[in-house]
Amino acid sequence: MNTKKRISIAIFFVLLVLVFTAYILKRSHKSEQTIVIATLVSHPILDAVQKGCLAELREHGFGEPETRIVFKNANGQINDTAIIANSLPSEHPSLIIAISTPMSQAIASAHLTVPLVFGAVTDPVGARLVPSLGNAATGNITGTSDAVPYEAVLHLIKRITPKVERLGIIYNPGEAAAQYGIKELKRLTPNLGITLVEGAISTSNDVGPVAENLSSRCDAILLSGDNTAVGGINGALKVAFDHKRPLYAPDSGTVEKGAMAAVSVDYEALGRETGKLAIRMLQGERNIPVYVTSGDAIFLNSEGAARMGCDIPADVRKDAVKVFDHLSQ
Amino acid sequence: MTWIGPIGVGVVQGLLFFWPVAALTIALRLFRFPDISIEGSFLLGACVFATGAEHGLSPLLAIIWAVCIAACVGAMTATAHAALGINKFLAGILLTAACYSLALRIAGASNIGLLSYVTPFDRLRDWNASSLGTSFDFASFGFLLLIVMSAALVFSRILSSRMGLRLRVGAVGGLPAVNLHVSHAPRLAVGLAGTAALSGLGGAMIAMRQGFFDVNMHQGVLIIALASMALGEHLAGTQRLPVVSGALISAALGSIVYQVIVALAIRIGADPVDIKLITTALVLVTLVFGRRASFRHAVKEL
Repeated sequence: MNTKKRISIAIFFVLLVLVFTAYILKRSHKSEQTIVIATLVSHPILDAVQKGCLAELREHGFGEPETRIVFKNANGQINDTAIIANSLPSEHPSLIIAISTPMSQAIASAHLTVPLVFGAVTDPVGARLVPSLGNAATGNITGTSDAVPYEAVLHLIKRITPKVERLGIIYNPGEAAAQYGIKELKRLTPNLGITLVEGAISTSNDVGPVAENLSSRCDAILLSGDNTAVGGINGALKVAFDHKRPLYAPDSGTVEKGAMAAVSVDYEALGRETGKLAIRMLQGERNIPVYVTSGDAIFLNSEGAARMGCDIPADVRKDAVKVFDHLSQ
Repeated sequence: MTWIGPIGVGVVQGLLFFWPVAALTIALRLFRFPDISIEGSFLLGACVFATGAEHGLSPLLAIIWAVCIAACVGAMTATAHAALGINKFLAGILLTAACYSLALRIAGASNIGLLSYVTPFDRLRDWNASSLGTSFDFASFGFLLLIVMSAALVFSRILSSRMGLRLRVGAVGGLPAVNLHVSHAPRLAVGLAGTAALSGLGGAMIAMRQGFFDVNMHQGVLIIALASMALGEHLAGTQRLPVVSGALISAALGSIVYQVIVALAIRIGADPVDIKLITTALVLVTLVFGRRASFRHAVKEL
């Protein structure tokens, strides 16, 4: 008992020392300018944005060691965003880059005097970050939007599978990106003669069963651009292969895994645009309009299409930025 | 100086989280009900507040709505258990799940931004900046401390009174309630409605403070509340305190200490990946050295 206790106390001391060393090491190399990059959680899309953004900053002389770059991550805890936002002044940043909607909102509402560049916020107007995309009423806030270009997606669906009348959409109503997507699809589908069939999910595990349910009632299935739907891609793929239903996706990564086609936002490129806005802010420019991805890059997967029993027309293949010919796992 | 900032931020966050922590502690320790639905009432409170604010209600009115609707969640959990005989945990889980859908329905969106909405926190911050001129927001801190302390006083008076005693006996149920001729189901409903109202108030104030409502913001609240409660009970040494004030003191102490630890971990975190590890280490250190008695004990052992 006594030895056990002594060992555990010793472990605590070691941990304490480690923590302090990390802290001191971090404090020791000081430079003039500090950029804070704050994000809600680590996942492929947000990490790609961060990577692109850092690359852009580094190429223009704003990387380490000239500039101190501090990373903050709420580890998925939405309520920790307020702690991060309110403790930022002690870092004395010249600029804050916020990735994801909740992180951007928390920092914007802390009313810091520091310029804020948000990245990958699907609907900056709906999130009340800016009054309108082109409007510059909030001078020191700007950023990039990763809104999935649903109009282009629907046109692609019509080009590849013109006979589609009932389109199933798998989405998580709990995510802002999906709410935006559903609103857009409901506005756009009637003009194209498509009936939308909704399949709501709350976790990625629901994607398979919901896809199964939709496959009997729809000619094609589309995954919404939210993290939950994209996370469950394998469940949807199995259904698409088994029932020979075309499966469309919101991003290139999902097409690489086997979905037939997507008109995608290139997240690393979006990160680079975020970096460009940050540099303009650092150089003193203000009132910059929000950058929205044009998103006209078409991605295809020929192996996936074959297993869904679909033929991709030659003219679509010609327009594609990239055609994957195998399924990656 | 760099340490003061995160401690202050943590204390403010702790005062905001006092409400759900107190809700859980009172439900568990005084009513013997592990109320999982505090996550649901927290979410619904935040949701109703944000929706009200979006429709132009004043902050006070929006909070009153939020508290009332959150209270209904607690009452329903109690009814599901006491009247319909559903297991306590299952009742809480079911109600929390229902709250998620309800919140989406009420808000009509998964995220509501309140950045252009002027809250009391904005006024306090502006007043702090113009009158005190300090970088730490003493005005908000003082305001929160005042309402937490007065609420704790009021609750400890109510719960220790004759009426409060009957409420507690009735809510716990069993033989003592039968012997004293106090009814179980209605009193449990009133009790849990009260704790759910506290949790909803917390949700509303946190949404107000962080400037947005998000339908996933309840995730982790139950764990935070449990951790804060356990931490507070350990630090306060509740076995030596009267049961009501012990619960309230441990909720306040635990919530503040826990959030200060989280804020420090975020401040220290050289690499964001390590934040949870650092939080764990700090909580363990606090638990071992937090109480003077156990500290002396540990020193003697060394």
